[in-house]
Amino acid sequence: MSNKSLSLNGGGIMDKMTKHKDLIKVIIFLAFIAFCYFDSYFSIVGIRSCVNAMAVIGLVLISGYTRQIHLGQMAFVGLGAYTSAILMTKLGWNFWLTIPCAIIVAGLIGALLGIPTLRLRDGPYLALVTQIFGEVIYVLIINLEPLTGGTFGINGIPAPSVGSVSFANPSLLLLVTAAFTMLAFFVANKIAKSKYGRFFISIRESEAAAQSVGVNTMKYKIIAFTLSSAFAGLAGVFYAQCFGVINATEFRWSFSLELLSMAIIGGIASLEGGVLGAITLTVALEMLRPLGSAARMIAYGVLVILVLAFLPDGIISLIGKRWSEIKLMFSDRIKVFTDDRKKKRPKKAKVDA
Amino acid sequence: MLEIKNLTCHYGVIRALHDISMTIPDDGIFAVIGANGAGKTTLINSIAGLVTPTEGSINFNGTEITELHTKDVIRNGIALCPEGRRVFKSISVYENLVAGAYIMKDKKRVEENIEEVFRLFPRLKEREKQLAGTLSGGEQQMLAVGRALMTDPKLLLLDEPSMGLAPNLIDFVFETMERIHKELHIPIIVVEQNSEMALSVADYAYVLEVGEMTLQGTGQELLESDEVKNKYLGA
Repeated sequence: MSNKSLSLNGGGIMDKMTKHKDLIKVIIFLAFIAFCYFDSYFSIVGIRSCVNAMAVIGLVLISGYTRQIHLGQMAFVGLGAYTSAILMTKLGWNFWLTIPCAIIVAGLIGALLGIPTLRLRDGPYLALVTQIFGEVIYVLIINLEPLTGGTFGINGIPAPSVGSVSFANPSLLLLVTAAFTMLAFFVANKIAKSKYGRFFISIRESEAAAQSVGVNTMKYKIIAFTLSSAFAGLAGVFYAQCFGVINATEFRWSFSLELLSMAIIGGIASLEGGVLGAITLTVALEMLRPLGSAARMIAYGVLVILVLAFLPDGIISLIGKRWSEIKLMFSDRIKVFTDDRKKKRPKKAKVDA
Repeated sequence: MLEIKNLTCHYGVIRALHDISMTIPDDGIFAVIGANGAGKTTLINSIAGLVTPTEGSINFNGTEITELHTKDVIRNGIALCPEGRRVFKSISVYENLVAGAYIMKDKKRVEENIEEVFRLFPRLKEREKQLAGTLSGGEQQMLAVGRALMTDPKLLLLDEPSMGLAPNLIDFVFETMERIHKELHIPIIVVEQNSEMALSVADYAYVLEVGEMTLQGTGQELLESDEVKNKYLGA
């Protein structure tokens, strides 16, 4: 009762609790990285997980927080990857310098695409435009052969190094990638907790209400989209490092859908959910590799449907809940499917004050 | 005093409002009635700065607000409660009110205004910590109005406050409106499809028809006018 604060993040006791939880999250992430570190195959899986996590962090900002459906995130990862790769192979730039460049290029192109698109009224426009944009980028990469290597892609992207220490070894590269993933998460988390995050959420909740209290919703949608693209650009830099080879087909729209489903399965409403989804699905897809690519995608699709059906808030909604609460959640969802005709289920039964 | 002169609005090539002029003094309840698509919401939105007029001017207490962004319109003392009970569903009632005053720097004033809203709507005080999405329709409407009152408005714009509410709640909404008017001494412009209710509480009212103002008069006059009776009151 007395715990009133003008922030939207609640008060002191909660802060302590979340700090505790934050620490656990970091430990789980580090444990995953440590597990991957000792095996060179798993190191690559770990790097891919981190790359996907960075791209999904961006997606959570635009599609989770602001609820604007983005179907072309992989194209922005591609922009980052190609920027970094071209600067390194053609101009001999230092790896570390290509990181800010990739972020800026992806973010800038994101802004250029977002400004006209998000000016259009609500609706599926952004989804349509971003999906087509991904294909345009693909065609451009194929045709700008002198710069991008066309259909052959770019090979032999040099590994990063500091002084005489080279990060060519996947285990070492994993550590660098993980460090940047944590940095990306930290930055995104700061944004999400800032007034920007609250504006993004207000757009998701009700654009009309947000406008009525004076939020320039168009501006904040464009900011969210630009940020999302910038995170994808960062992811791209490490994507290029992962195999040292990039090819235009890897950035087409089906991979953007993969990223979006990672975010949804993990829990698109929170950054933690997005990262969790990116890691679990990247690992799961690797484990399914022996099944062949068709069966893999089917398994993936089934997983998406199951999660949407039974865990609409993503896997993250299971975490930190008691078994009895989880059982209740599932029985609630099953009820929705069995007798929704008769009565709508009461939304999150709340105890009246 | 709000002065609207020769206001014309377009959505692309479609003309939504044509040559509207009205003067709203500093006290009273003013109703704008009309059928769907008559331009009522466009009128309210252009006052609030959500729609930029193609022609004409809007002046509030001596300040030209025609081209201002919503944020600055609110700073000038105009508050909008949008149609359809738009609340921020996944945050609490209290936080919704805080969000309503996000343009205000003075935190103490925000706290005072929250207390004021709770005084007007004790029901919201009871549900202070509850998520806004779990409120009933009537309570959400109260919250949307309360949120609009958070910025110390000198003019309140209400867009279809009775939309989608049960008949007994509609009475309540209009009573509340009269109460706000009486207690806060601010003029209210209410846009309504429920013409009978709107006219019965309004001091003065305007009728919009396909973007043009066809009739105006006191609420009583319009209630008794044959044209209004035929078209809007179904008598």
